[in-house]
Amino acid sequence: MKQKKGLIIGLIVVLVLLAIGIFAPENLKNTLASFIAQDLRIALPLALAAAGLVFGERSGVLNLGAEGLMLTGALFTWIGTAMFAGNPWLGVLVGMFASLLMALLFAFLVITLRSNQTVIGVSINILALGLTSTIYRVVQSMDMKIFGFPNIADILAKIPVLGDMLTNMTNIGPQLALVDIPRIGPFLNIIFAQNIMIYIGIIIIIFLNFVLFKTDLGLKVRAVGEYPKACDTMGINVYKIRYGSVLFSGLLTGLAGGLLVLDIKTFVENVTAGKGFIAIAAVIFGKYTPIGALGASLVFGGAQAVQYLIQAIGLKAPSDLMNMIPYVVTIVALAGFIGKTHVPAASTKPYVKE
Amino acid sequence: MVPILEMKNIVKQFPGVLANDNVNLIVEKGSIHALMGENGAGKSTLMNILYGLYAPSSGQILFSGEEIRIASPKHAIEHGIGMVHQHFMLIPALSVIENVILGKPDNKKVLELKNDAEAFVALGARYNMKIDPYALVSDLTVGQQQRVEILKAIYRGAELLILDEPTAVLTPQEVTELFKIMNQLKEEGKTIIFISHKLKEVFAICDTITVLRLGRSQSSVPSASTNSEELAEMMVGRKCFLDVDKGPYKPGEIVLKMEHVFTKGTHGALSDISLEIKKGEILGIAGVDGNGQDALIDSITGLCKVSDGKIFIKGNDMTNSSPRDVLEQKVSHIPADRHKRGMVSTMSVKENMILISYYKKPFSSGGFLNWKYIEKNAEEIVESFNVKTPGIEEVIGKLSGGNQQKVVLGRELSRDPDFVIAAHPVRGLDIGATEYVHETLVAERDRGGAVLLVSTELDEVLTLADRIAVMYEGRIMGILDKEDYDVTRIGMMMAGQNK
Repeated sequence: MKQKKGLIIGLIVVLVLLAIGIFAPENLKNTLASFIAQDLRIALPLALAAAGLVFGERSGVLNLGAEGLMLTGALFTWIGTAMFAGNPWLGVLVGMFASLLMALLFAFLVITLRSNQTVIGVSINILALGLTSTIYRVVQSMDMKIFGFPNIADILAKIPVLGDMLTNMTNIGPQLALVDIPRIGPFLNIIFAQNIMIYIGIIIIIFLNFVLFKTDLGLKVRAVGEYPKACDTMGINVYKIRYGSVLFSGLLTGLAGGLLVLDIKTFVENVTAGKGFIAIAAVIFGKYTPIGALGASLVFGGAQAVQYLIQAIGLKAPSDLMNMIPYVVTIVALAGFIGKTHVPAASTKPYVKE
Repeated sequence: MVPILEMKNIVKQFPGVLANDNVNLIVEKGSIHALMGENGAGKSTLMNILYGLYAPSSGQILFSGEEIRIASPKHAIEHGIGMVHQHFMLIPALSVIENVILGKPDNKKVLELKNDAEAFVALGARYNMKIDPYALVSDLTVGQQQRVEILKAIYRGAELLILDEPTAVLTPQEVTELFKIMNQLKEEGKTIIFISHKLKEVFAICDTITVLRLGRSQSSVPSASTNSEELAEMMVGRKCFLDVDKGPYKPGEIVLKMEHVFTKGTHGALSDISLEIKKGEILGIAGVDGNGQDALIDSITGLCKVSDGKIFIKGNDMTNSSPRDVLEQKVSHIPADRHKRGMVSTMSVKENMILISYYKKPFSSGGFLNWKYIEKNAEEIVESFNVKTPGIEEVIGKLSGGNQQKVVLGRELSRDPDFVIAAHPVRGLDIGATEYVHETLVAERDRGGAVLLVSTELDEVLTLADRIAVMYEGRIMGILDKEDYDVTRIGMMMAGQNK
């Protein structure tokens, strides 16, 4: 039932967008399309981090250190990309590995040593902020060359035979062929001509949703976060599942941090600026499901993209006030929804095997 | 024939406690074997060793004649040992079928819930158990959850099934159903270890009985060749008086009167409760847990709001009075959950003794506690209520459950009450301590006090109470006088049917 409701909402949104794409006047169409493109670009790192955190949360570990993991992932993606001559793929792997190490530290402290998850989470954030700022100051003089991920059109164009059908060559490089569709083509082109990671990210999130709800592993993760002792009597290794979930969420938060850096093509101190916390909020707002977290991230991303929209329309508003929008939306969303969500029963409770 | 299970010379040493001391247990295939003993006798430790939750310090386990090592529940399940724990190991947020297959080693990577659900329904049908495999466990009744637990164990191929105090949460009818299922399992050649301390049930269903006391196995006897008195003596180590001596029933004036009381709330809210308790009588409240007993007590003691109706104590209108005003009427309250409401487990025995009277003279004057008097008073209660404690300075959380309950009992009864509310006063206590609590309550009644006794143990209510009120979903299904006691009828009323 719940899944169907989400599907219906999604369908309605798509239909409304299509209708606007076909019938709306040209400049409204363009503004809206770039708003959606911005929203996707901002939301995806959040959604990936949140989808990873869903696994940690479902297994009973609340990782408030997500912000720190993201920041670590961001710095090391930046360094890694520079090390590998600007290659974003290898760079992101370096970032994910660094974040994984931080997640391992967190997991060891809260799962094996059973320290308080909130205290350790906050400490990880402080540690990561200090560590990344220090390392950054040491290496900032390095010659950094960063390329972002390639656009989907560039990749499609390289596929033999099919590439010519799917893309058009123009003087600014290849473009998606759907731009030629009458009326709606350019509108769709702005939305779909994204970098390849957005597509990969959405596929990952859908896949994770499947893993969580349809596989044996997903069932174990969900069970461990509810009643670890019962899982123990069923022959499930609670510690193994929790370690796995936390480390996996470390990989994805690291990836999310890397995407931030590759998006703005540079690193600055505290580049994440609270995005890790918003990802945690997206987990809750998204009712602890990966696809729900994607939806929540789109709402939060939209709140940020609205700033560009307001500028595009030509409204004048103080930028500080504008910057607040995503955070205000987050608070409102959580305040309105938190009561109705089922929080995993063993969330934040360390498991003591007798 | 080789016994299905032999546990030889099992020793389990916990830091400071020898929980199992050379325990021997032999269980024949296809039998129902009772494991009896008081709390702390080592029953659960022994079964947790068998199920792989604890590693024994030494000893041997033979399963169908072969020696096996059980390092984790996973191994136990592989060998065909299943366990239904007293606190169910089900995950409320998941569906029945998800719970049943959780952690099964032969699950496909991508689950095939539909196939499993069909097989599970077919298995249930064999034992006359109808359970919707897609229902959430949190939506099931306690009895249904227990059936899911049993089916879960069988579904995983259990040949030997351990049932840890399975009847504690059931109505008499549900117990009958459970016994039917147990007998059917036995006929199919499965073996059951039945942990219990209820003598009547053990005699009704078990073939052989093993008694544990103080971590040692006393003996194993066929149930046909022993009797209740003998078993009780084996468990406690001395002669017990299973029946409580009561003085003649001489009800006096009314102490508590409730008139059409309602409370708000969704779960177990009161609906139109009217009852009276007189001096010198024990009114027993029977019913399955969660049918309004908590709200009944809370409404009297001022812990929850009465939305309609009146409550009088000794003629005074005490409807919606504060808890302190109620206690000032010489009301004593032995709460259902002593850990939540009866004591502060990190404070000392003497501090726990004054939780109610601390503000009164001579316990304090002018805002200062009078420790000399408090200590003298505490020593007296410890003495007269037979509390086993190193001293009144001991943190109460370190005492055994029975001794904690004695502290609560002592505090409440030493206040010289006119009206005693006792909720599940023997929950978690062993036979010896139970005997003591029961005697104390009866003494209160014989002294002319009014007692409200809430219990889910029907036998306890039947022996102690002068009249019984049966509660179901916040209503009183009926109030029976002593001469009308009839277990079948009370059981029907507990399930919501009258006549």
